[in-house]
Amino acid sequence: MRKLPILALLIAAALLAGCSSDSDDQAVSRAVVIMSGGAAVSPFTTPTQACSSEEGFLSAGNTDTALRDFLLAEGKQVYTAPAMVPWGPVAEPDPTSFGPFKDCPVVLPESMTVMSAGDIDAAGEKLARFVNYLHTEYGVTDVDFVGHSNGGLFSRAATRILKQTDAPVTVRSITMLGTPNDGSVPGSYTWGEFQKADCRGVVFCETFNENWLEYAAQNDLGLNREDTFKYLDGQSGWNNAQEGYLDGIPVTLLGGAAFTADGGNPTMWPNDGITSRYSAWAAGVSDAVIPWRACWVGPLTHSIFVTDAYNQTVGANPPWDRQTALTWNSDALARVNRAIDESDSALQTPNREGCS
Amino acid sequence: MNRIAVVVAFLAMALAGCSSSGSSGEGQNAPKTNRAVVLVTGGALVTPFTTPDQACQDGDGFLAAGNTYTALRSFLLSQGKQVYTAPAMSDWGPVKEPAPDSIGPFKDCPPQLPESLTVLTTGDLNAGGERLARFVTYLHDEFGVTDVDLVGHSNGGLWSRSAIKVLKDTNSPITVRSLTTLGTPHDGAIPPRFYAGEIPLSSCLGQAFCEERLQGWAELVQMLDKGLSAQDTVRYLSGADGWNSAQGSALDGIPVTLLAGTYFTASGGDPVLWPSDGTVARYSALASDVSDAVMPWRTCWEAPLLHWVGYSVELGVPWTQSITDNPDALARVNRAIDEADTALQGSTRQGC
Repeated sequence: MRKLPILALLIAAALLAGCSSDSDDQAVSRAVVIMSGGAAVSPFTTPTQACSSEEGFLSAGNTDTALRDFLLAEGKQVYTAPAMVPWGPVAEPDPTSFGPFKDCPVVLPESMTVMSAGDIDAAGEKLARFVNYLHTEYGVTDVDFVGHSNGGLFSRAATRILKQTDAPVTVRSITMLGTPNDGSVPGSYTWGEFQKADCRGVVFCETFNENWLEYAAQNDLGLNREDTFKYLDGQSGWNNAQEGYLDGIPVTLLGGAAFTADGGNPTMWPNDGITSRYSAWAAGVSDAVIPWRACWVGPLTHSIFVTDAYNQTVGANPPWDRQTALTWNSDALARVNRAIDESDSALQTPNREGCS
Repeated sequence: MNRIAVVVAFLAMALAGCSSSGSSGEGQNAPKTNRAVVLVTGGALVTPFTTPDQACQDGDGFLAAGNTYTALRSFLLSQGKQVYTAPAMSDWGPVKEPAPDSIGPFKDCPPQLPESLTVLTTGDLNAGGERLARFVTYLHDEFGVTDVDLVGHSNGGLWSRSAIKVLKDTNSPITVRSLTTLGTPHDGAIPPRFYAGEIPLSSCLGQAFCEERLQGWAELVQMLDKGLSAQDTVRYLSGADGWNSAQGSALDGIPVTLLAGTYFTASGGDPVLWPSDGTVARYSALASDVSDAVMPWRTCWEAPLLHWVGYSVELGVPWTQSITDNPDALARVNRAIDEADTALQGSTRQGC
């Protein structure tokens, strides 16, 4: 009479212990996830594993490498999210391409790889699955998103999905560099929202955007059409559909203003070559959608790719170096690091600091 | 009555708690097969979530599962199938009731599902595929469904294909038994191809209905489109780098039945564009540009039908002239599901 209940209770206790293993409160394991932008190909890297650092190659690709190195040096646990064009897992780029990478340790499947020339919400699904993978594989419980260019929109889309699906990962902050929250200059240019005259005679603007038309016709898989006022802004735009999902998440917005034009349309000028300061600061996005933001601007280009394009277009002498790019500039990197460090107390400080 | 019984009951509860939160234990206690048909609607359409037992108001001008799938749902239910309609909305957010004066409206539905399980029918194919895969997973978790037969009307066939890839790539516990598509633009649709500059207005060969569709498309895109139109093109879908090729081996082991409408014909018309159902050419509905590597087993069927009931209304012909409501088409869908398990032993491309 005595033995059986005790045995049964022991078994029950063991069973319950087994059950609770996946619902137990785990220690917080916080990580930074860097998400690259439109049409970028970026490898998956972890805090301890990256691709070859041989001369001529970038250990985390041409968007993420400087950010990753800087944030690792500041003691952060940094992962870079895999991104590919077109569909499929990340493939090593041609070694003669701009800022190539090779010999990466792990290649993740397509199901968690962002297709970076396509739809923002499709990319968000892949990124959300990648974050869930970081949870199951590395025990990550909290993430700080750092999104470059469209990577900021992919991060916002992923945040919505993580919240809608009650994911076991908390988004602590989102920091965006040159993110086209209200469209990109070339996207709006392609779809007639900006005209050649809006370039105000700035040669780089005219050349870059005219070349873009050809690129988009050949290679775009939907993203370029979404980087427009029409898709993102307005009553029924994508931004408004995100309302509620950034509640409780501090958003830090970094813009580049390397290019200026006297009397230029303020939704287009100044800009970093691809994203205007207006759009990088989400000036067309209401506080209902982004309840807390801080803004920063530097005289920088969108990326080392844009810096390179500028050098080639105007024959700059001396050529602009990588420090002129949002993704490589020391002040910008330090601002990203600070945004992560301050994210827990940010919401107690005033909204929109530096945003005007 | 005694303590043992209480302890045993407690044990049973503990076990039940475990098995519901854990992965559905593959080796031990293999779950019974629970097969369901999932109906997926097409571009810019709105369809409510319904279950075999619960749908929206039936009658008084309202349709229990909306304007695409009320007929097919009833027919398949009467044939003993377990039928669900996947929620689909033409704008952000969960399904909303359409205007009562729209074509085939619905109202008073069972509770609708959140946005994350709802296909956005004006948007990206793979975003829709992710939502649909999540919906099928919900049917697994909530209703115990283990096997699904997917039926897609128009772009619903492409969302279904995308969802199949997601389910396979993520090792989903759900098996897809068959795919049946009705007027699906596997190789693009006619008005979007015109809008994208792939075909000229002259490909209508002077037919007024065709020209009106093509010339009116820009306004529809301006009003509604969130990216889908540009994907219903040869540039996006076809070729070595196209979406079709990117589906890889997702359809391996899955019999695909392709239904095409051929209401509109033109003698001497380009066979890529004629005959058609008014939106999708037979050539595209039969996935003529999709290789056997991507679609290993297919069977084809065609009849002089329209793409959707909106065209029946416009032309003043019975709804049964539309591929979603025609009795022969409905019977063909039912047969495809019945024959799914033996289909792969028959030869591919019958009737194609």
